[in-house]
Amino acid sequence: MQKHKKGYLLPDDNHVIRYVSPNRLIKDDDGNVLGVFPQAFALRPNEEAPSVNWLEHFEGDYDARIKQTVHELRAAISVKGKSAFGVAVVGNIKEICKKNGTAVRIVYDPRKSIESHAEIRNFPRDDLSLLEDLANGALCQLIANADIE
Amino acid sequence: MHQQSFTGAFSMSDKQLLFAAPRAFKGSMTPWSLLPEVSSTALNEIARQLEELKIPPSPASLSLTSQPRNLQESLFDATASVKILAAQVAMHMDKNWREKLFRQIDSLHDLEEWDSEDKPIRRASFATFLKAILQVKPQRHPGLGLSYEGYLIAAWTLGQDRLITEYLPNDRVRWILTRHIDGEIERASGQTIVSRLTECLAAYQPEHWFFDAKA
Repeated sequence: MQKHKKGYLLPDDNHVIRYVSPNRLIKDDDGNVLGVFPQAFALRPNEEAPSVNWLEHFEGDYDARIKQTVHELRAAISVKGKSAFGVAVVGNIKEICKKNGTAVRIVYDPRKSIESHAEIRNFPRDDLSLLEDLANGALCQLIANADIE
Repeated sequence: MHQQSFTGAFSMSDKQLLFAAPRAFKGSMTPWSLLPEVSSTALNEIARQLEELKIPPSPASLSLTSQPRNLQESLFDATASVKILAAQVAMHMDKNWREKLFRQIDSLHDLEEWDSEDKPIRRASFATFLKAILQVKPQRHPGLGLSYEGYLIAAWTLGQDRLITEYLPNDRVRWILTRHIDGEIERASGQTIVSRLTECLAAYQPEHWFFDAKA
């Protein structure tokens, strides 16, 4: 587990994941997940910056980090059975935001029960184009919660 | 007044379904006032159709006794509310599409999967969606979701091409699309009223999403 202070700017080549609740997932007729709605990146009602989780906070390879991050989230919040986790590279998120006219900072912001917590600061509240670009272009992997032990 | 006409015609669960709807519309605007005069016979038929389309509760959801009763009630009421709206225009929808839509509504309001920060589908949003669907009459039906505000969102995807629409009150629609045409990636977005949606999308060949290629 890496030790960094709150406010640490995450390196561009690191990864974050965004929890996507079931109603923000695009599914086919059989319930298979095809992607995420732009609204998956929208600020939640009580959010000032979109919450993400920093994978490299944990030790191990990519898969091990995914697993540890998800386990931490499951212990802290009510992760739904049919939800999913979108994985993105920090630099890609920043680049997409920049192309949409927003310079965001992705900052380590640990919480008491979610030590891997980070957030995307300076994020606009209702920019559909940016949300769609993130939903359609930022994710390098979308993992169903059910697929993680 | 409407409730009496149902007495004796249904089981307890039917009554709960039908009585829940008027409770959801307290205030000056009732669902019935939005619609043409409907006879009790017609309402009975709608109720029967709704009953046929109900999905039995999953075993998992039966164990959710610890959920707050008010959440269960609000999801139940919202489900009944939008299904009644859909049932009023059911004659314009084929049976398969109607059944699928009802399953999707049940799924969106699934108590077991409900995010505490979600809001149930707003009836005004669903009414806008129905108007759009009845106007476009798509052969391919969208995946549905919910925004945090309770607005219905719909996605048509085909390969890397996607069309996302969000249905707002008062016939307003927000849309955004990504379309690959002749090796170029085109993106566009806008907000319009339902009656202009197809015109706004026309430059991007929306039939690509709405209709099967062989049709």
